Amino acid sequence: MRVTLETSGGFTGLRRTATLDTDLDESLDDLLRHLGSAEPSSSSQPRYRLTVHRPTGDQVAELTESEVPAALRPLLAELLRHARP
Amino acid sequence: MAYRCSFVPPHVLDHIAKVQAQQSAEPSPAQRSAVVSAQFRRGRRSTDALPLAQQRLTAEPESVPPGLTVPKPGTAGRLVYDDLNQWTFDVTFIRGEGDPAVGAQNANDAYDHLGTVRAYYKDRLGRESIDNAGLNLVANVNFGVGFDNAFWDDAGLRMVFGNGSGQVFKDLTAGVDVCAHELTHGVTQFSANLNYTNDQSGALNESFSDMLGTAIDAYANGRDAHTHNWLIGDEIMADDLYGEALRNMAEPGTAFENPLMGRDPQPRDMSGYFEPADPHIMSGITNRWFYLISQDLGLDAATVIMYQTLQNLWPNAKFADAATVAVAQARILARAGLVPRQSPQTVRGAARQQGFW
Repeated sequence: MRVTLETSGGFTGLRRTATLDTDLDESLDDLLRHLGSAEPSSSSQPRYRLTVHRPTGDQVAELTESEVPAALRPLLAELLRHARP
Repeated sequence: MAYRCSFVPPHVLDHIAKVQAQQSAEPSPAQRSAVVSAQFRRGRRSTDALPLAQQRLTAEPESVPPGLTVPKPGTAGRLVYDDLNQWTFDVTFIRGEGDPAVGAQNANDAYDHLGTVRAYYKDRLGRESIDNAGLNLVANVNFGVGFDNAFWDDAGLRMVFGNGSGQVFKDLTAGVDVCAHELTHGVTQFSANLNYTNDQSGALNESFSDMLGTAIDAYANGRDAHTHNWLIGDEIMADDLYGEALRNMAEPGTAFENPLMGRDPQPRDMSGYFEPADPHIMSGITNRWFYLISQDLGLDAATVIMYQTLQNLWPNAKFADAATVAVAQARILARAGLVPRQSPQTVRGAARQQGFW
C-alpha cells in the first residue's frame, strides 16, 4: 500500500513530505482507518498528515505528536527518514 | 460525554470583546467568555481534550530520586525530565527547582532557558508563569530519536525538546528562542487562546510566539532592536546549515534556501497573503509589523504593547483585529507613560506598511 506523510507544526514548522510503498499488517491497517475517522485537533504541536492510497480511494488521518500511538511509530519513523521539502 | 452549549453565540462574544478591548488594559469579561467558549468547542471536537481546569496542573513526578526537589504546585518551579530517547513524556525526573546542574548540557540549557523566560515574563511583563498563576514549568529533553522539533504540549502543559537529527537541526535546547517561543504558545493558550488554524488566527498565534520569543532572545543576549539579528532558530541549525535560520522577522522569506529545508515561503506583507496557509507561513507578515514597531519605539515598548494585545484578543481574531487592539493598548500604555507618546501612530503606520490597516 502507498502511504504519504506530510509534516508541519512545532517550533520548526517545516513542511516535508514522503511517500513509501509498505506492507500494512491488519492491526496497523485497522489503526489507520480508526485514526482517519477522528477530528484533527487545533494545536501548535508537530502535526502528521498520513494519506493511505487505497484502491477504493485515499484515506487521510491527521494527528499531533502527542496523539501518535506507539503502534504507528515504526511506520512514522520510516516515513520521516525519507521526508524532504 | 457531557455537552455544553453556549447561550451567547461565539461571533457575538467576539464582537463585544473587540469593543471592550479598546477601553481597558485588563481583559474584559466578554474576552474571557470568548476564550473559554472556544476551549469548550475544541473539547467537543476531540474526545481526548479536557477543559484546562481538569488537566494536570502540578506536574508531580511519579518517582523522585533522592536529593531532587519537586517544587510545590503553583510556585512557577522548574522540573526537567529526561525522556531517554523514548517517544513518551516525563520518563525520568532529573532536576527540580534549585537543584544543582546535571551532567547533560541539554538538560541544564533547558533548565536555564525556562528560568530566563520565567524571569522575563515576571520582571518585564508582570506575569506569573504561563498561566499567570504560577504554573510549574516542565521541560522534557531527549524526546524520541533524532526528533527534529520542539513543542508546547497543550494537553500535558509541558515543553518538549528533541535532539535534532544532526542533518537539519542540532539539539533543540541550543537556543533560548526555542523555549521562549514554545512557552509563549502556553501563554497564548491561557490568554487570547487564538485558534491554531490555517488562517489569520493561526498566523497570529505563531507570530505572538515569535514576537515574545525574539524579545526574550534579545534580552538574554543583551541586544536591543537595532543590534538584535531578528532571526528565529539560527542557533539550532546543524553544522552543515550554519548561517541559515527558520524565520527572519526583519525580512520574511529570506531565512533559508537549501536542499534540506527548501525555500523560506514567508511573504513579506499582505501582497503575498493567501488562505488556507500554514500558520508558520503567514506569521511573517505580523512578525515584520512587530519588527517595524520595535525599530521606532524600541524592543521593550513594542513587546509590552504586543503582550497587552495578546491579553485582550480572542480566539478567531484577524490581523486587523490585532492592529485595532494594539493601537488601543498603545494609547493606554502611552497615557500611563509606559511607552512613547507616538506609539499609536507607529503601530498604525507599521500595520499600514504591512497592508492590514
